[in-house]
Amino acid sequence: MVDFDRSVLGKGFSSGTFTIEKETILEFCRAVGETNPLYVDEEAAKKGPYGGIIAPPTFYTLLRTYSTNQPDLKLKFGTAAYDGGESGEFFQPIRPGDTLTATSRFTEVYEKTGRSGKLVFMVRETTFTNQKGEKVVVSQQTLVRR
Amino acid sequence: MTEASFFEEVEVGDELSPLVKQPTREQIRAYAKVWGATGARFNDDEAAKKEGLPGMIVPGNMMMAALAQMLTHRFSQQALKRLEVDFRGFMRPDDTLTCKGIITEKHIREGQNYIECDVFVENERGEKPVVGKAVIVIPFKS
Repeated sequence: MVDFDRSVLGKGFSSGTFTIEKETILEFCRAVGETNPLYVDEEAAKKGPYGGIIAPPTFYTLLRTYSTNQPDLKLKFGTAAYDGGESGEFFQPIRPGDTLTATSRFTEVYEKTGRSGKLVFMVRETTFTNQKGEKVVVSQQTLVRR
Repeated sequence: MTEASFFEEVEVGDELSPLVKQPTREQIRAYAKVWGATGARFNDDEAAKKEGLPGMIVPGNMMMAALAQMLTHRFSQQALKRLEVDFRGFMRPDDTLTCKGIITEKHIREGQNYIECDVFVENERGEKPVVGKAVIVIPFKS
């Protein structure tokens, strides 16, 4: 069994506040080659279902939710870290000018043996809430160590 | 732009229109910059090699964004309720990365019309470095 501090699991911590800038949405769209007017064309988006541009669904993955008050899992394993997976459940759109507040918790730590040997997976859930108190996205990020 | 999609028109086994991406080093660096990711693996071939990687790699989330682009093109932003992906292999700059999706399930639950879709990214060698699932809710036509 992998050695870590189990008391940390499920413990919520604040993982940042983010102000969403229109320019960042546009840069994100340019970088991924997203051209939907809903995200990049203010005039066209005004006539659409949201009355203005919104961010593409996975925009939230850009928000750096690593915070200094993140509890230490005290995981004694591995030297290299990778993203193992990501999931997003979408509740409300992200709009320019929104202020999102993120709260995270580690939900799971488990190990698997793959072709390259033992891997340890850590799952971190983050809930993003907007300035109106609406739940916007709930994400689960799987970090892998080996 | 979004193709009109109604529950009656979607069948299990239907494939989504594939979306092909070939991220260049410049695009990867641009993505990493917006993301604030300064690490070697997304910015510099030589430095990435020192981390034991084959060179610069494409951020997994960048291709998750491409899968979302495929899905919201076929359905809509409102329709996409959930997207989950596993990153299973490295993707390199200039790889031909094709986003694909296939409808696997269709059901009505609590008055909502659910579509489930397997999604993945396939490279030119037939490998699937990203695999996942999407949950979509769309209305009836009538």
